[in-house]
Amino acid sequence: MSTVSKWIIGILCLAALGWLVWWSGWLKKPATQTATDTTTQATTTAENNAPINGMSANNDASDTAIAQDTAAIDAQLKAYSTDSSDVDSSMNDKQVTQ
Amino acid sequence: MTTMQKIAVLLLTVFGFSMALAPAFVSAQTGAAADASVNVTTTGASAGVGVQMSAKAMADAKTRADKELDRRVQALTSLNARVQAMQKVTDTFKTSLATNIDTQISAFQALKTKIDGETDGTTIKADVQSITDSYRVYALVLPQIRIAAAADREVTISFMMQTLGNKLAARIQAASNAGGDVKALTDTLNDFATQISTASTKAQAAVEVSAPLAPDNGDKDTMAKNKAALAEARTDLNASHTALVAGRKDIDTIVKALVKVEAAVRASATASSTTTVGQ
Repeated sequence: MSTVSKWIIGILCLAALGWLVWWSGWLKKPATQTATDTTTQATTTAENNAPINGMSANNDASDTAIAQDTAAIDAQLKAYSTDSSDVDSSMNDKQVTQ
Repeated sequence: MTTMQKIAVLLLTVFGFSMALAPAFVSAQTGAAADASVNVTTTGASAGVGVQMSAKAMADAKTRADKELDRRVQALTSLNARVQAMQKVTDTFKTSLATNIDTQISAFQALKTKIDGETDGTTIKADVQSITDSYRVYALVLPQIRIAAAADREVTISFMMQTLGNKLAARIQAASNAGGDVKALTDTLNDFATQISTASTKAQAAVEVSAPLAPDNGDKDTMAKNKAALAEARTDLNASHTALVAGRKDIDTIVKALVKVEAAVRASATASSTTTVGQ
């Protein structure tokens, strides 16, 4: 094998290795990685703290927000009546006589 | 698959319910699993005895079996929808419950199809017997999950009230900083916090007292214990609900009193401002 051929094979091997490293993500800059992680974490936290069941924003203590929250609580208390009724039905269940 | 195998699959599927109710329902799953072999053996013994059934008796048996299986499928479908709406449990827990309920529904539907197509009296009697045997588990698991769902709602409401309580506390603090008399408001707010805490504690107690139950399998002592435990869980749910209703009244009391205190603060500030200008 000639010296030129060896050089060409060597360069091709290096190029393949470089592509492999790039493809696997090892060449990502640490700063970019941290930024991505922080964004993900923030998104998750925001979702966990998001108002539920029609409640207003957690940091809103205005009259409108309090009225909205009260209405949301009333809706859940009303829905509980169905849950309570279902509990009673399940406790008094009778199977069809076989 | 033989009849025995199908019955065994059916019963084991029923017991799968309890397996899904982890971690609070760990004790229940142990008891249910221990009873599995008893039911299967009993059913197998009766299956070995030849049974002659008239065409009418067979049709009646099928009708009754279908009615009971349809009723259970309907109840489980409704239960599954409620499980999906639970908010204070993990997704893994919900998925586990839903999977087991779906499996149970499929098993009942398969049994119904089998019974409808059956022509042998002995086999029908064994299948019908399996419906009755599985009822002891079904009749226990159904209220267990219903109680858990009701408790989940109560805890959810407690969380919502806690959030609102923080906002009311901020408004009361602001009124106090502005010179308002907030003594009565603070007392009511403290009671509100107590009601929320009681509601949450009682809801949790309802789940804890009902979760470890095991199917009675005809044992009167176990039956009495299960009945007492479910009644106790029901009492806990009621106590939680009573606390939530009391908390709801506290909200109204605080909001109305807050309006008056804030109005008094504004009036005082206006008078003070007028006096200052007049001087």
